[in-house]
Formats: sequence, C-alpha cells, structure tokens
Amino acid sequence: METDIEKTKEKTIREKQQDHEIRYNPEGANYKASHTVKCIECTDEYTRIDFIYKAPTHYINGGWVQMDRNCFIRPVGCETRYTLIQAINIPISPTKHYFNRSGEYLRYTLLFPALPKNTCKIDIIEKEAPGTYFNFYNIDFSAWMTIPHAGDRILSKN
Amino acid sequence: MNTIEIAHNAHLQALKSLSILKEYEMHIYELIQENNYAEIIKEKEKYYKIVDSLTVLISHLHEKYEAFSPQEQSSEEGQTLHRLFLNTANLDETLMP
Repeated sequence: METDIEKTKEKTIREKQQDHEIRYNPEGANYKASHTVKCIECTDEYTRIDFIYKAPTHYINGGWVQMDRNCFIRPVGCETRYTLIQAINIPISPTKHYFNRSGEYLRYTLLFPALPKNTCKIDIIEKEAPGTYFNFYNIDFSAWMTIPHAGDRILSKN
Repeated sequence: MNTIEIAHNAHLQALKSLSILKEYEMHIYELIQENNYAEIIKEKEKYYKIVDSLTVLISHLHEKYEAFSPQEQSSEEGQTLHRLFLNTANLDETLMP
C-alpha cells in the first residue's frame, strides 16, 4: 500500500517574519501625536494604511477632517503614483467629518493598489499644494514592528 | 433603430447603471464591515468601470444634445435626453467615496 504523506516543514523565524505583511509603526500607538500612521499592510492585491488622527486643541470643537479624492502613495525615488481606491471612516472632499470636541480621535483607513515588492519607503500624499493637507514623506516601514500594538491585541475571554 | 429609440435606450441604460452602482455600493459597505480588503479592491475596480462607461455615455449624449436646434431639443428625443441629464446631473457627488 502506497501512502503519500506530505512532510510538514517548520518555518524559520525569518520566514515567519516575511509572512507578516502588516508593519506596525512603533510610534503609531503614541496617542499624544496629532496624526500618525498606525500600520501599513502590503499584499499582492492592495496596500492598506491605517491612521490615527487627534482633533487639535486650537479648535473649540476639534474642527473637521476630510480626504482628497486624488490622494496617492508613491515609493520614494519613484514617480509612479498609486491613487486612492477606498477611504474607510473618513469622508472624501467636499464632505467633512466634524469632531464633537478637541482631543477626539479618529481612526481611518485608506486603501491603495498593491505596491511593488520590496518597497520599503513611501510618501503618502493627500495633495501637494499650499494648505493643511495630510502629507507624509519618506516613511520607512521596513524597520517597523511585525507584531501588533498591545492595545490592538484581542483579549482572552477568560 | 430611430433616434428616439436610441435616446430612450441610453436613458434606460443610464438608469440601469445607476441602480447597479447602488448595488455595488451596498456590497462594498458590507465588505468594509467584514474588513475584506482584497474583495473591496476588486469590487471597486468594477464599480469604477461602470462609472467610466456611464460618464462616457452621458458626455457623448450631451455633445449630441448641444448640437440640437431648439426645435429638436423640445422634441421627444430631446426631452428624453434632458431627463437623462437631470437624473445624472449630480453623479460625481453621489459616487462612493
């Protein structure tokens, strides 16, 4: 009798780390920061970027936020733009999200097309123009954590 | 097919596209709730294809309508096209973010 049993191969730590597509910003859980990139997920199908925005104190009710429809990301040193596909939890301009008070947090996600493999640094650009736009330059996420922030871990029910 | 039939068909096609877009939006909202990002990307691509074809159709008909004489604009064909433009006037603002 012939049996065809596949041998299971345990992955090395390096392989396991490469499997992790989500990179967590060590500064992403710093709730004192006004606006941070929390994590970046790069897959073959999409690039997901999570943000945390804190409503500023110089507006009584925290002001408002919106996202430009033509927001894009681009690998550093490359001219190719990967434009926004889906904004989650933040309205697209001209619609605005109004805060109720200063210091309030907004967690939102932007979905973009997949980046080329081995991309380590990107620019996240809402709009390159005078004004207060959400632009992040030279984000090197290659050295970011592969484990989630402590606050994001699902607690045991016990 | 005469010009009135073409205008009616274009109007129906545009209305059908609008309802398909709404169905896609409902589905994408469900996918957002499920955090199914890969599927969102796929569905959004299809969504934009319909938007693009609808935009091309409307702009083509708009050019045709603009070339009409006032008499032709008040004809049945002209009125049908006018209704189509009214129905799709705020398409940009109603698209899914």
